Amino acid sequence: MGLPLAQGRLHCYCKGMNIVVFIKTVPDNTRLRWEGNTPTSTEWMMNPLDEYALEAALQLKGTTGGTLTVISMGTRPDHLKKAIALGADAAALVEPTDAYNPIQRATALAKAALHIAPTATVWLCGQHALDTMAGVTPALMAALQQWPCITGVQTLTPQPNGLQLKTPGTGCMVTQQIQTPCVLACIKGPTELRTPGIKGVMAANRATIPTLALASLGLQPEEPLTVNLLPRPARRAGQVVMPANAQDGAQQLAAYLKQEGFAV
Amino acid sequence: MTATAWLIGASVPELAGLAALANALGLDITKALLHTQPGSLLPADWSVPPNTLLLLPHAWVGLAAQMAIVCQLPLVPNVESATPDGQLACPVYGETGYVRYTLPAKGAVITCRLTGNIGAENTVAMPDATALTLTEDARVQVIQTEPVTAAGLPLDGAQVIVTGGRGLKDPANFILIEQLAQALHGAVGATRAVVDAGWRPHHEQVGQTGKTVIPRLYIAAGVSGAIQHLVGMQNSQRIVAINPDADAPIHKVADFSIIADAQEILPALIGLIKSTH
Repeated sequence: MGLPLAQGRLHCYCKGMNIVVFIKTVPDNTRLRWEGNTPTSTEWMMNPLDEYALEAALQLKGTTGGTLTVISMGTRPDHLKKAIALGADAAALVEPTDAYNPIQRATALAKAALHIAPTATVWLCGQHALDTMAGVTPALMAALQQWPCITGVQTLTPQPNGLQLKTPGTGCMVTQQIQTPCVLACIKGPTELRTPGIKGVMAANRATIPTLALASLGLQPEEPLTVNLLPRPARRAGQVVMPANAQDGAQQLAAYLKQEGFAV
Repeated sequence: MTATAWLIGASVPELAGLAALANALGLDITKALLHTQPGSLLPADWSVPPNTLLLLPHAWVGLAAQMAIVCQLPLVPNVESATPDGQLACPVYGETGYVRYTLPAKGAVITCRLTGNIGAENTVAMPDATALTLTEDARVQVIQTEPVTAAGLPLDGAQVIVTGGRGLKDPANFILIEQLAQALHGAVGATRAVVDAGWRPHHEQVGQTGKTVIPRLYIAAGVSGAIQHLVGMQNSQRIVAINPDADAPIHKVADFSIIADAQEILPALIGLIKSTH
């Protein structure tokens, strides 16, 4: 697969918005088992929130006519190929970093995007990945690039100098305008990820996904920050209440919600 | 080991929760900083003394990321618990396990879950809070903020979801689900059984053939907990179940179970919340 974006800084003249979507392959947590201190899963999937980012990017590309590049860290090209089948123009894998060092990970992904899609002005990803749940990668990439960042994006619409976004707030829907270049983190939107057609699948089967070595991005592996993984003890210690009456039950539940930080 | 900590939050309760974590790590709190909206950008010349730990609530991960990059410090995200020997535990893999970090010797930015065992109790002394002034990002503009009623709030991205099942016994009882969702600024969810029965629209369905949700709080009222429903909500951060059947599967994934009829508990809870607001 060629890299049609790597032709210099053409974006000033491009009508469309060039986009990068970062896709993470995650284990299906509902089928994940712990063997000692090692999590194992036979089922891997595209991070569901990245699917919404990809669908939003495909719609944006369809509207503006820009190009779409997809990037994933690791050794599994399956979901990048799916993105190509759906209409992505280029794809690359990045050599994995320490999975639990978010800055190293975000730095590698950002450098990869700048390397293979230097004209891209919209970077999209899921709000968080179902494995780490931390949701720090978009904020870190934005901080590294000194670009604006909005998280919790549900819909996006192209505007002359940027994008208009809708993000759900507490009891409200917020409409914002953001200038490009920018980083956006998506949540579940109104449209599910489309299904690839047969032509797309055939094109994806023919595509070769390059792997970018960390050294080629000017990065070196760093000392891991982590000690180990370990399973959560049995089930979360669920509290069971058999209330004397409805008022008693309501009071105990309200106390629990307050203790957990919810405004009751 | 790093001995000093700065606390950064948007309210005094947030700072108090962070102080509890700093105390668990045996740190000396040397500064407490309060930032206020709508600013979001850290001053370009912002700096911290060497070997300082910066503690923030995880909700302010955007600010934490800026601090980590500007100060060239490692970032440890979403810490749930800490031990005096400097071990930090962060949940991973759908809350089924933890990854443990060692407290970095050169200092770090740490974001913390201010729930559960962090911040629940705090009697830790800390310095008087001073202001951290953030500048507004002119590249981002709020165009409009539209209030959304609870019944109309989308499941996607909702922080709180209140779901009703066949245990409510009558579609008219869904008014209790709507009222509680409204009181908690949340969205209404439904099980496949009630959607199939025509009680609620399909866009409210949570589960395998509906929507997968990961809110901060999921309240299941009159829900038995079929596996097809559980796969759509069991990654929620906190789960509350109200069901009179103590053997119902929903109780096996719940953090807080009430063995009682939802039609009796919900009106009392709604009344309680309304009386405190």
